[in-house]
Amino acid sequence: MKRRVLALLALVGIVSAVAPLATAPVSSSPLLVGRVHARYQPTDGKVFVAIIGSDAREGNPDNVNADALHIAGINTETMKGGILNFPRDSWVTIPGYGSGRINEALHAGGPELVAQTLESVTGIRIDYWVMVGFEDFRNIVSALGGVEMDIPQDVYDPVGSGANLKAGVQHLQAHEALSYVRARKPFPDGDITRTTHQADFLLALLSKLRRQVEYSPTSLFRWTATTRRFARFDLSASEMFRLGVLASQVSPRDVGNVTVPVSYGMVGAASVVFISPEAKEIYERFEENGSL
Amino acid sequence: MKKTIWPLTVALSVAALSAVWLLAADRVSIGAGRGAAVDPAIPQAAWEVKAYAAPTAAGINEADKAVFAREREDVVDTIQRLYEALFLRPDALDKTVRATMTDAASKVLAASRIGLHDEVEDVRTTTRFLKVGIQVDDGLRAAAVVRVQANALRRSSPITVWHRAQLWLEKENGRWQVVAFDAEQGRLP
Repeated sequence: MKRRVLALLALVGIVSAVAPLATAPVSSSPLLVGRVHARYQPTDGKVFVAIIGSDAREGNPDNVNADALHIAGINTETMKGGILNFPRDSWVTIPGYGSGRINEALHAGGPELVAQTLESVTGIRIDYWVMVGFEDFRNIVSALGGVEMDIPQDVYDPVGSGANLKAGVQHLQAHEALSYVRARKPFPDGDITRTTHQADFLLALLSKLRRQVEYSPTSLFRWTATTRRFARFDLSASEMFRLGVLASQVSPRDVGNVTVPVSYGMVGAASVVFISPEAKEIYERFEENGSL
Repeated sequence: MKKTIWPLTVALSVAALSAVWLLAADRVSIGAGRGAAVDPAIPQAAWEVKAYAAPTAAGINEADKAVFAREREDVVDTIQRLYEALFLRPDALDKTVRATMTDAASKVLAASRIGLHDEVEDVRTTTRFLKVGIQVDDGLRAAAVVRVQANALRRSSPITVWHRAQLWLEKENGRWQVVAFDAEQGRLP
């Protein structure tokens, strides 16, 4: 007979006793972590985080858009989760700004507005946002020693992202990982495949975190220290620690990777994608279960 | 290759399922319970403790070493007190859990059957191992691995219990507490 008890529901409290979120400028720090709602008091054991990849980089520190947009969710009772991916050209209503591409919300109002836009689109209450720019993505992946990934197809994109990767399981160094999550031109459906690949990368990262923490729980400190080193964040160290514990206990196999269904179209001269009505069922399921 | 592995996989699966069924059929009373403290005359395994400063991104400097030296004893003592209560001092369990775990974590523990049940007596621990790393940049967080093995009598029959856990601790208001844990416990055949 064997019993296993996982006391992680306790961690949901993590996230409850906190100070109000200080607004952080978008451009000054490539990785930001913050709260969307000043008073987060989850009652049903679900945590949702907006994950934003900005195109902030050397030479373009201010005029930033979001190249990666995801909502990650964890149900702390079932320990299942999901990553819902949004193509950057999704045509949506940006609260207070009217219609636009979803990635423009970052420039218009920072990561908080991106999170609010995602909330407005999906009806899912988002508890935190995390934002990463190019340089610190590289720094973080490098500090963590790279990531092992199964690349589903050859990716050759010499002009755009610089990706030159063969299909198969391989260990990606930081620059390779960045090129992989940026590559869209090699794929017929461009950003649709890219956003799915980005979520695959997040799952590979989760897998590495889980393996390392399982082997040695103190390795979590290296992850949080790395994030803290390369980030300016508005979460307390305690919140980051507890979120890290929570994430380390989720099996990537129990995390669905779903990209919202879209159709292609034009708005004026702009090429955009329209989120299909079928996405509503996905949002409701995600909001209800905390997983996909 | 697949033809070779397939029957083996089936056999192992059946064996595993059988083992689960057999063990489940004899649900031993292991779990957080109440009862008298174990007779202090029974010799207990000495704790094997490995405590270390969890490396930071910038390495470990003299200040970090001082933080580690300051917190080490308190962290180790918190965990040892908790396990003393879980396995040897059921009479002090409630009080100890309140002192060493957050409310939320202690509720999960209370609902579990981790520890030893009051039907179990003459507990003699044979292994008590603790490895704990303290985050030294601010000295407010720690993570630990605990392994315990014990012999005991249950309804006059000898049993052997194993337990292993990961614990995450934080220091708040000057007190270390377990904020989350992942524990497994079972009975050796």
